[in-house]
Amino acid sequence: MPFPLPEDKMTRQELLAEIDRLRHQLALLKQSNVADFLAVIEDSADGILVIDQEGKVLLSNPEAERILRRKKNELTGSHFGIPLTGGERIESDIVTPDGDLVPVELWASETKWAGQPAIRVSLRDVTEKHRIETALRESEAKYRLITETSPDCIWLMAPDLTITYVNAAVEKMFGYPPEEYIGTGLADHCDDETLEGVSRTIESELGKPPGQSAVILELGLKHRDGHVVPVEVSATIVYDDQGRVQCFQGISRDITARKKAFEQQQLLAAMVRHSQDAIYSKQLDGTITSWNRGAEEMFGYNVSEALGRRTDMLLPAGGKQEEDRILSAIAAGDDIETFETERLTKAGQVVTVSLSVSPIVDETGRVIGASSICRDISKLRQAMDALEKSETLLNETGEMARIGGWEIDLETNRVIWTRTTRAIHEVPEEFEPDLASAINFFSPEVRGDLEKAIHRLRQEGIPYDMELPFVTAKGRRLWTRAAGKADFLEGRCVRLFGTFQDITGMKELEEKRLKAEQQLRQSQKLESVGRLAGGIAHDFNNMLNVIIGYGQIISDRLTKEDPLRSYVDEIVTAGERSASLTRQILAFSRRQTLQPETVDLNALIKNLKKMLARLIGEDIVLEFYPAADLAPVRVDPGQMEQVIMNLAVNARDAMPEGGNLTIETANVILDPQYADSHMGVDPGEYVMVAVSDTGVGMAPQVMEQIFEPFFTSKEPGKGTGLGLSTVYGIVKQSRGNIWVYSEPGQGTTFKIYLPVTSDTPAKKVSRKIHSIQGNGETILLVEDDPALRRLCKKILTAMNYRVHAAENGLAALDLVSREGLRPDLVLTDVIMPGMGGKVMVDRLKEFCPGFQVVYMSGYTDNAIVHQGVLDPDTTFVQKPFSRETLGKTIQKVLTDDR
Amino acid sequence: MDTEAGTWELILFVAESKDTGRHRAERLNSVFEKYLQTGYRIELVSLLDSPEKALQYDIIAVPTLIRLKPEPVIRIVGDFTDPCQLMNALGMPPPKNM
Repeated sequence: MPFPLPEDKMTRQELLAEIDRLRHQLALLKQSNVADFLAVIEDSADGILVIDQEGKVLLSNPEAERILRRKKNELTGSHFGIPLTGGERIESDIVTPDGDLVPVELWASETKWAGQPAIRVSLRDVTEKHRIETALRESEAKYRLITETSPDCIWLMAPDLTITYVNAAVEKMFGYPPEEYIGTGLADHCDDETLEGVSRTIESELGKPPGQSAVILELGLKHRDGHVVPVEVSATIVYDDQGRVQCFQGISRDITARKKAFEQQQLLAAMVRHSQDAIYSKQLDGTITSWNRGAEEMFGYNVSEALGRRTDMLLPAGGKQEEDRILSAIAAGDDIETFETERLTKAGQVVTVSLSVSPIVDETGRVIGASSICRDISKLRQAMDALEKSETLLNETGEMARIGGWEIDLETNRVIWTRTTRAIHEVPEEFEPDLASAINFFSPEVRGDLEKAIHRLRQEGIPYDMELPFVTAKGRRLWTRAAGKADFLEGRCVRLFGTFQDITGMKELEEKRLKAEQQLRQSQKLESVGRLAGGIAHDFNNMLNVIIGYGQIISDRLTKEDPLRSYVDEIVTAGERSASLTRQILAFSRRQTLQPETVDLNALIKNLKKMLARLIGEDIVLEFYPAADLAPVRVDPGQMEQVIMNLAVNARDAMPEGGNLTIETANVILDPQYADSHMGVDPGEYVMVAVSDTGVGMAPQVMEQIFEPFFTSKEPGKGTGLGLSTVYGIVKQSRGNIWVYSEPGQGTTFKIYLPVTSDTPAKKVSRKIHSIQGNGETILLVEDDPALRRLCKKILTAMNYRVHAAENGLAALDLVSREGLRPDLVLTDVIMPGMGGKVMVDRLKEFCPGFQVVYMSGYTDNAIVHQGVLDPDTTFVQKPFSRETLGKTIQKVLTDDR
Repeated sequence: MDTEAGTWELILFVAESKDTGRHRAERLNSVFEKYLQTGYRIELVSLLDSPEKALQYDIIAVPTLIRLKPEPVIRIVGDFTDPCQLMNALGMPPPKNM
């Protein structure tokens, strides 16, 4: 046991005194259990010093020595100082002999040592405590920093749901500075429903053992400005030692962005899910990683079938190369813009699709796959094809009809022409039309009208539809039909559009039709005039026959010296002239009977040339240009001579100062087109005879009338007005056509077209002139006109024929059948009341077949007139006939070998 | 000198830096200004700055205030927050009316 020993040398007496003192003290100690007390001090966990009134150390325990880093003997008597602690524990530092500081808690109390007042000083080493506190402080500071800088809102809430702590994040999240937020209740920041939900959650968590009551909630909490902030709250319940709820603590995180992203993602997912387009993704090796409903429907594979398989199954034959190209482009990070291709469905059907492919990259930017959007455009393609077809049809039909379209966008002044419109304009491909240039294609004289029409269209919306002459870019003249309409938007004209048509062909047809109508009217007029004239002429004929006949008989009976002879001859001459006129009228009215033969017109004209030369006089040069190998025609040669002569006379009269008269012949073919535009012409082969003069020519109005009977442009008395009418009638009756071409001062050309016959011309029988004396042959004369009957009987009897006359067919039949008359020749009228001439002849032949027949006619049956011919072996005399004509005809018939 | 005879000489040993120690010394100053009629001089010694001085004075614990003059030398250990106790320990009881 340590005990303080005197350090300094002592005297013996002093030493003895000290021993006595110690003995005394020991005795005292024994009495007061001091030993036990010291043992307690020795073992104390705190350092203990006993200090005297001046601050010197009297006693120390081992802990004190450890703390102070000093040995007992160093401490005892050292000057510690008087502790001033005010009865409290104070913080102090011990200075070790090495100069180190040891933090201690120091407290002091009064005590007694060896009967003297002393101070007991207790020391507790707080080095470890300080270290822990410092660490704690540092840790706290660290956590405070984390808390204060956290973007999440960290909070504590009392059991009554009042906020007791909140970090700075609350301001950003909810708009309140923390000091304002603290003290408010949860109810201030959410609606009742949310509050109720929170309360329910707390209730359900309360039963759980501490540490297991962590919940995560999603709530809507109000921002200061009123909008609701979606937050995710992680919270726990904190219990105190007694197991009572001390508080709630937690973290609220603003999940607005997350929510938005989630909603966006949901939206996107829904869009993908419900898209009718096939949307799928694949890895770079083609393995399918996603497959939407659109893909299921388009390709027929459901999701479970498609996932994990490769997109190769969607490729039609030959599609692999394209797919490889796509994948290598994707691997390089390129987008594949929408393009059209084909894909194969599960059912093996090939669908036309538009496809776009984009690379999918991971967070490092590496391409890990591709997403494809695929749209079935089969129907679209079909519709487009149909549209294209219908456009083509429209274009083609437009081209056929030569109808195009045009459009002017008045906003941009752009002029659009369809293909046909461009074709009609005959513009080069690069030509860009505008309104002004478009108008300039029309003939100058109509541009003003068109501009006015366009102006009205733009101002008042009045559509136009005009037929306008037009000149193409290549200079061709056309007739066009231009129609326009306008579109108005809010009262403003924004667009003009319309059609544009080449109507040249139609115009020509229309003109032809007008011409044909005119020709028809003309011929109808001539027809009716002819009918009238013909009717009169018929009656004249019979009367003239009587006049001439008797005139001739009288003349025959008078001696040449008889003074009456010349009068009678005048009567006969006048009668013959009248008869000639009548014949012309009948010719014009086509009521004369023609005796057509197959004729070479070149030969006919050649024979006529000498007479024509005399007719036209010396001042006029006659030229004849016969065509080689001129085809034969079937005409009445006598009548045709008449035609040529009439035309020659007409030409002569047009050239009082002389000139050229040219006659040409030609083989021509009149095609259907010509026939269409020329009234009454049948297409076919024709022989043309053109008679041209270099005379005064004619005005159009004169030309219209020249074929009318009694129309003449000559001085009174110079012409009958029947010449050209006769020509017209003969040509028409010969199934030919005649046209006149003339302009004043430019001469006149008549062109006659006669149909070619396949027969060859008969050899001309030279006409021998016999003396007109019969050999007593028997003639049966049938004529309903009594005067004419009597005349004929007289003439023929005078010619030494035995004549039996009958007034009609029945009487004639009677003579033959009952009276046994066997005529050598029957001379009969064609048209008679009752039985006609031809029928009668046929009946007579039943009784006596061997007779010859000569028909007389002035006014023939319509049927015969229209045909214009009798049987080739019939002979015919035209009324009014002369004695010679009749005599020669009968003589010829009776003497010709047939 | 009168003044010299009456002037107190004190040394305050602290463990803190001079700044914190100065704060403590100023608190003591305010006490001495109030209760000491005679002059005084107080030296502040920071163990962080001058550990050798502590050893020289055999300082065991800080804060320690040593009254060098007037004799006898008095050593006090504590925080000196109570002026009465401080003045008592220095043998200068404050007036009754305080």
